[in-house]
Amino acid sequence: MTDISSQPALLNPVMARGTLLARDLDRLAQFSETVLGLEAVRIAPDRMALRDRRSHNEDSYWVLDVAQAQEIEVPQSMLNHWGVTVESREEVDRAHAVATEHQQLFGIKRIQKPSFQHESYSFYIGDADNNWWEVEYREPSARYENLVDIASRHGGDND
Amino acid sequence: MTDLQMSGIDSVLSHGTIEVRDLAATRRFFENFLGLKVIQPLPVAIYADGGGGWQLVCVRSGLKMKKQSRHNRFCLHVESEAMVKQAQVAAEQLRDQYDIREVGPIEQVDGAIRFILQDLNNVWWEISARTKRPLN
Repeated sequence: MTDISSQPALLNPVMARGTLLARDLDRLAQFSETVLGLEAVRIAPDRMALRDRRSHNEDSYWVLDVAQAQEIEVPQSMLNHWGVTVESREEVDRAHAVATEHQQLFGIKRIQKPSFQHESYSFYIGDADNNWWEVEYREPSARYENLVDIASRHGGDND
Repeated sequence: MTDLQMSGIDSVLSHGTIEVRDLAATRRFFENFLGLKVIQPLPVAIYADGGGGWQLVCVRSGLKMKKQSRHNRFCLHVESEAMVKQAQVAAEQLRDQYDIREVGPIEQVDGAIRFILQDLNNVWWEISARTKRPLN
């Protein structure tokens, strides 16, 4: 019998994909490419992948797997969002301007103003299907490798 | 490519976020069941390292956990079909220990076997074998 106290049920898992729904894949593809800077790839009539530039030169990368649905039965909230990171505050502002310009075309329901909090400059978008997105620029102090250092200084538990 | 697609925003997918009621219990499930690396840099949040520069950020919420759809889920790959099957059995055995809400049967989808489960925060997870990767 496996000793459950010493090893997890899953060994060396890789987080590979997230899944979401959209009523109109073409609309989400255009929104994702125009506002979020992602690449949309149709993989079936009712399914597409959203991926970033790392997919072209790295073996392991995160992908969003989008399925078409007639209705969105469980709308997501802002605290359940997908995040993209850009290289500067100016790029956040530019994405915000692009989203605002095309809000009606993409059926965007909510666009929040960019703000700075927790060492990150970002804004949130609620899309036509109640999926939420964050476009952010992280100050160096907020980047993951630094968060690892912060956590390690607290013994891994900063509570 | 259309004019719309020429905005040229240069981004990377960096994170997803979920709400959790109990950070410590969530961390135990992530580390001891899912096998994820977890850090807690903030009092109100833990980060699970998804690899390749992607993290799942789990923010403590005092609110009742919202209903979640199995169509909004996080997908983990493991090395073999045997490991998927072992994990599904373990999920059934450890439901009470980790407050796992639902464990689905083993299924064959996209040429690979998988199962899904709903965790203590109503979040859905898919566990599948790495042998077939139609998307990445």
